[in-house]
Amino acid sequence: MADTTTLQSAPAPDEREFSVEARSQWKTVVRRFLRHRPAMISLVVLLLITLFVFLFPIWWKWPYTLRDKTARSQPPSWDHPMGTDELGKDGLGRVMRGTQRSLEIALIASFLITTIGVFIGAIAGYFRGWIDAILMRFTDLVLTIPLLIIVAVVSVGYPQAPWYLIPIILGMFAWTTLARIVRAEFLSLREKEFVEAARAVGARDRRIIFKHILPNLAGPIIVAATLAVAGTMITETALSFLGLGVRAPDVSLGFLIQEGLTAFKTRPWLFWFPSASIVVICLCVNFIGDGLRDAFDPKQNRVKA
Amino acid sequence: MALLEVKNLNVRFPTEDGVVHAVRDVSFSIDPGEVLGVVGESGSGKSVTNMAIMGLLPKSTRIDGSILYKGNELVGLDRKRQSKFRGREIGMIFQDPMTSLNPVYTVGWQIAEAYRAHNDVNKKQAFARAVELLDLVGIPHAATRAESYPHEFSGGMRQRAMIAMSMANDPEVLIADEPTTALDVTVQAQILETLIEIKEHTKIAIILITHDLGVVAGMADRVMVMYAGAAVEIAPVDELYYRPRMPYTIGLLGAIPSEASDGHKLRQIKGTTPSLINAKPGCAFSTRCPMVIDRCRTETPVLAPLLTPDHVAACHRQTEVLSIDVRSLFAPEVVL
Amino acid sequence: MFRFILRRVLVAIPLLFASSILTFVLVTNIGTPKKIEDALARPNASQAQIDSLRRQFGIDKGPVERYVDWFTNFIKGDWGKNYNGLEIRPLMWDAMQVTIRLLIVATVVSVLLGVLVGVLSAIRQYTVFDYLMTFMAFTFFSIPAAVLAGFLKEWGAIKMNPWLREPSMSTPLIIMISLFGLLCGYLVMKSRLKFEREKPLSKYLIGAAAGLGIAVGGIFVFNFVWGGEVFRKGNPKPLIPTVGQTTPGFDGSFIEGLQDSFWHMLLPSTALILIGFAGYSRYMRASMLDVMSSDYVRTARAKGISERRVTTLHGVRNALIPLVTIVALDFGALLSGAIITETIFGWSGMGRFFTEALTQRDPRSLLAFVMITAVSVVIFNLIADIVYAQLDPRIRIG
Repeated sequence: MADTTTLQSAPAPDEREFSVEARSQWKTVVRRFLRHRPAMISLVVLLLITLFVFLFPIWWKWPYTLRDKTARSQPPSWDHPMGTDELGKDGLGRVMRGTQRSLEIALIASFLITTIGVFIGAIAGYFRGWIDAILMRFTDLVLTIPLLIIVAVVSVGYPQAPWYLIPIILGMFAWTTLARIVRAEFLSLREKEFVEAARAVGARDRRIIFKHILPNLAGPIIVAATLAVAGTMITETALSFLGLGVRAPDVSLGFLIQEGLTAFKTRPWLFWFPSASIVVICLCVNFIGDGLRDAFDPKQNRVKA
Repeated sequence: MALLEVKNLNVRFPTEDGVVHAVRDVSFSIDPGEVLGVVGESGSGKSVTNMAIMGLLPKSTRIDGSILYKGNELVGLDRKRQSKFRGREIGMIFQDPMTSLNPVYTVGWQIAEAYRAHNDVNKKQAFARAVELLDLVGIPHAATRAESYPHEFSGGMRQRAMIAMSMANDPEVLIADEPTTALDVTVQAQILETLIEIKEHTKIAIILITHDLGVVAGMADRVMVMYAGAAVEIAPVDELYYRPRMPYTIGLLGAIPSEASDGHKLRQIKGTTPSLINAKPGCAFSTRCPMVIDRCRTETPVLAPLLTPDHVAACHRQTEVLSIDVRSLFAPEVVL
Repeated sequence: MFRFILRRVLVAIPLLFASSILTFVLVTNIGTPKKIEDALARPNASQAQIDSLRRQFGIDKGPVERYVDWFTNFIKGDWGKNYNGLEIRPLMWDAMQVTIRLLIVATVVSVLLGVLVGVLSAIRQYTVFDYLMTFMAFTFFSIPAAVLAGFLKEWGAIKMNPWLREPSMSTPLIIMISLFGLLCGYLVMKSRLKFEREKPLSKYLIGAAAGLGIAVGGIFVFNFVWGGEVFRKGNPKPLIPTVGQTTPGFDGSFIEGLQDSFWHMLLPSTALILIGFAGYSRYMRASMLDVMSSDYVRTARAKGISERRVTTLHGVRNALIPLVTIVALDFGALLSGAIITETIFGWSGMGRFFTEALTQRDPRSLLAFVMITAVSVVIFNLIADIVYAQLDPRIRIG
């Protein structure tokens, strides 16, 4: 800042200048993220797990529905590294399949949460007035019923629903927090000079919202979307625990944990392996989210102690 | 003996990108009743120097050199002894009065807290002192206003409250870090007026940090110009204005709007301040200086007197600077 | 202040009214109650039987009429009968008392713990303690309530109880306690050094003494107190209960009753506390870091008041303000956690009420349950608003 020596006139809002600045900002974000050791380790672990659960089932001899009649209720062994259940279904095969499903559910739900949350928050914060009032009262209304309860009550009406209805229902009700964050940011950003400049040159509302304001919110939105992945996986577990998750013969991690809990005393491995899987994945996702938050935070000036 | 003497002060911050050498070998002193103006751009180290005096820098900061207050060393004091100096011997007011007061306590309470920190009095006596101080800095209805929260005060009133707080224990030195920057122009004048009044009544020594040379001209006895963490010129105020000897100082003076600059663009110093991480040898201003010679890039100039001992400048070509028409140094631009 | 509360209440009433409509819409879509479905599956089910069942469940009329019926009766206190023909209100009342006790304990302890750990983490940022607590918080943040409660039930009670009855000191246990002592000693030493700049020998001695003390003390406690008569005497049943909120048919003095409740509550509340604490400690740490780098904390330091006073009166006091909102927002999550934890530990609280209503697809029970949660969420937020206004004078206007 050369505020003491220069009194320049404000530079014209030049698109090229913005993009140069944006690019160098992304560079710093990436560099900061790469330097965040827990987040980097988590990212590698998460990628390895994802690759493993999606690719390894191709070669693995026990598909998740196949029953090994010679090995029922077996503890972990070389043949069944995660043991088998009382029907002889292979633990590893089921955990891999369950992890796949849980990841799919979490990603779809997180995508929906982000889209709806950003949309509602942006509209409310940008247009203010009665639109804002209606949308925010609606948000308050959704928030009066705890997420798990609202999702459970909705799911119970669809006993034969395909698995992808679960993330859709989750997405329909879990966007509230993000909408509030986005709205608050919009309320302050819409008063900034660069928005006024864009308005002065006749940019339309849609262009201002998407081209001028939203890019400034990339940080908080990406962080929230990441953390929503972990949050959704945990909610899915709770839903499965209430018997409202995916339906057999399909499995998810929550489904497997619920199964494991019912036979904890006799077949504890059926509880431990899916539990470990979900905890490791959520831990990784949360650390990645933390790393992203640190990377995006402009106030960030980490002084080494 | 000087009231406060800073000798070879060096401040370094460890950061992710490397060690920031924020203050380089700064030495100066201030006598009782004197006003020392400290000017420089943001990041020139003027605030950091004074935070070092107050002991308000983060724990990870490395501070070398010496800060003597009435002959007592302040560098390396432990927290307990440090807090005896703070507020009692040296008071400080900050740039932004909107954020410098705690929003959850009344103004009176916060001033009383400063008084109670160093005086064995009860809450009632301390509050009475707070009201007295608010009255002193010109807050009307001080007794009732003391019960107000900061958000019920205007910017100017908050800065007055900050001044009252810093004066609670009659300190001998007052550090005012950009006390008027965040205020409206009319309020700025009132705050400066208050500071001048205080100075005349109490013979307090004031270190006035600012980037507004107009403020310095109106109040200071001597001026220290800082650039990239180092003091580049120290001189009595008139000397500095009429016979600057460092090109950077000239650049600063050229950037003040005045009647004379009507019709001309303000002269600006081209380029930006150099990075304070892994600084190269040589004069820090050499990258922007219009008078730069090879020697400036290899050898760091030190503060040296030329004609009078109280005017020192850090420039290899200060003799020549003195003889040059200052206005021509920074290419004048004609407004179209 | 009174007007502030009044205004908040007046805002809450239309919200609750809207919430009742949402509740009703959600519950009308739960499908046919299980009882009717079972009846339909029977080959000899007559239409008259089905109709009478539909009337019993109150789903024989049009939606608007049903809503008005339900809403007016709900306000009057007549919540109808559940699938078993039992009055819902007393059932709900009993369930709520069980759950609220759990929720209050869990909230209070987890907030206190979260604030304490968050503040310490913030003022000792990037120390071993901070990293340790960060990792702990992230871990508990990543564990689903069902997994944590299942784990605690198995390892905190079922695997633990036989050992509690016949405690013995195995070599690994002695090593573990010693290592823990060592770690504690190291942390004590480290934190004292952080706090004061100079490093005299006494600080190392204090650290070593603390570590040694904890190690020796721990072994002593395990060996002589637990291994001795203390816990075995008069406690023939499993020490840490895993089923129910009290011992069925418990007959003892008031104090014994309290003890009984305490042991029953220990593990379920631990599960909720750990999950809650993880979030609160992170928020508190962030909030505290923010406040401690603010201008007014710098002002406070410049006054020359003690660092302790700066941290508590200026730091913690201000950092608590945003936490209030977070605690209020988290109430729903906590309630969801309680539903799961209660089910795993076999409590007969709101959790059981809800799961039963869900499996039976019992409209009246679900209506009552969802409405009560909505009311409690709104009340909790109202309390949070009032606390917030108490903490932040800027809100108190009007």
